[in-house]
Amino acid sequence: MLRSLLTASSGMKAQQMQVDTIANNIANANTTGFKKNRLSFQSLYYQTYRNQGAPLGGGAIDATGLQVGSGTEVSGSAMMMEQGQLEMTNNGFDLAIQGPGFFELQMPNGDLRYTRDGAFRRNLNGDLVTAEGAYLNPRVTLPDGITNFTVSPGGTVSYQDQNGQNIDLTTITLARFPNPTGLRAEGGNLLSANESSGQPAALVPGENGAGAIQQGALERSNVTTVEELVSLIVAQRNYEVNSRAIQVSDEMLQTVGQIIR
Amino acid sequence: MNGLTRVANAMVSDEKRLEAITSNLANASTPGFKRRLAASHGEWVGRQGSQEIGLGISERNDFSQGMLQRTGNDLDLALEGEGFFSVEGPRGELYTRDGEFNLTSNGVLVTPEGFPVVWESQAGNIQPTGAPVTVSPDGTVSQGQAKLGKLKLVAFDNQNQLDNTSDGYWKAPATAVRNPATGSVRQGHLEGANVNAIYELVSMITVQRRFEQASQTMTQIDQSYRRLHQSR
Repeated sequence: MLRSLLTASSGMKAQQMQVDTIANNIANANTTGFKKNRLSFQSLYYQTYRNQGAPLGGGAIDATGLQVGSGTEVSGSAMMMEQGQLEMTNNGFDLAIQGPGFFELQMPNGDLRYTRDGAFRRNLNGDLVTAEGAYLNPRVTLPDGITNFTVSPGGTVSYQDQNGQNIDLTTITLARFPNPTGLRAEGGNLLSANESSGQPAALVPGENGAGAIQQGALERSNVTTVEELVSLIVAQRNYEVNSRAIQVSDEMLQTVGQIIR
Repeated sequence: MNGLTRVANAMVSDEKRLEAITSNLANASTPGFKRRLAASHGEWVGRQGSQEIGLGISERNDFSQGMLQRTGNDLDLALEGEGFFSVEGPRGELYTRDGEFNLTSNGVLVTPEGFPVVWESQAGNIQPTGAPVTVSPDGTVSQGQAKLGKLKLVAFDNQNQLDNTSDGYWKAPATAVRNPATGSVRQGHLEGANVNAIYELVSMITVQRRFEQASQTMTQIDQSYRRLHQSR
């Protein structure tokens, strides 16, 4: 009975964490470039009381054995990389990625971070930066007096000079990871590379499987509120059912205590 | 065997059943989880010649299909129908229905625990940052236009021989008869646990009531012994 108490509490703990994750997804439903999180569950250790094929007496052998599981645990969380909807903003500094890949950012302290949030602005020196002042890497520096520039789907940044000449400035590259679901969320829409995600490859947008860049648009989060609410209901009910299992185990223990009157 | 031992036997068997039920409920969100069915059965006990039937308990997996849930993740694979994915565990091949796979930086398809997925002949080399990966229902993996190989999908003549290991994998005895799987792979989906809360709750009520009855019986037997002692 004590085992079933612990087993049911492992279920409650896992569902609690599931609710936490769903709450975070819903809270970020309007966050630009946000990717929803998913928890993965796995079953815990199985207690083997009797092996398959064990003799049962009378010459019979056990066809199935007796193994009882000890509950569940959260084995990890993964970011779901599905494309979010593009929302047109008609602001030339807003860039969205259609397809896989991330913008590479260089933080003021030199660290590299990755994001799908392409709401850039221009700083005093003409560099494209995020709201927090992180540089787009490779750096894009607009010459003095230039406020109008275009970014092609292939990432080429160009502007028109005083004579109406098109001048190519640079090319924005996108970072792709072997295992993007393993990227570490750092808050502030930033992600960082680690052993699980692998090292990024800098790719030209639209080539070798990298997504294309869409200027004047932002990528919305890929959270579907309805889906999250349904998951929330399921998590809540699972939580309740597990708590009921704890209650039953407790009542059965109580019954044992009352055997001798 | 006297009455008290028999009743105790029944109560222990109910306890084991409760453990199986709570484990099923706790795993209601575990992908690829197969619920465990506990069944009581008559068991021969006692010496040869004076055999009696006692109450034993055995457990097996209910391998019925779980609901497919769409995740939209290219490397989430679900099996519809019979079969298992095979993965290379630390001590030999393991089997699973949980297809939450990932890619390492070397292009190896692995489980969340890092066990490499087993391919039919030769492991396909996936370009980690290449074109999108597609998996056809028969388990053939392609990237862009290039066919990389086929995942090894295994079915068993007798699934009840499979041994549960932790982390949701099954181990097969060396003697198990392996066949090619008849089930098909659904990319971008995961198979949910086949746990049904209603069924488990009903079983839980049954177990609890039977347990109470057994304990009442035990009290009665105890009291009758007590009266017997007092009458002396």
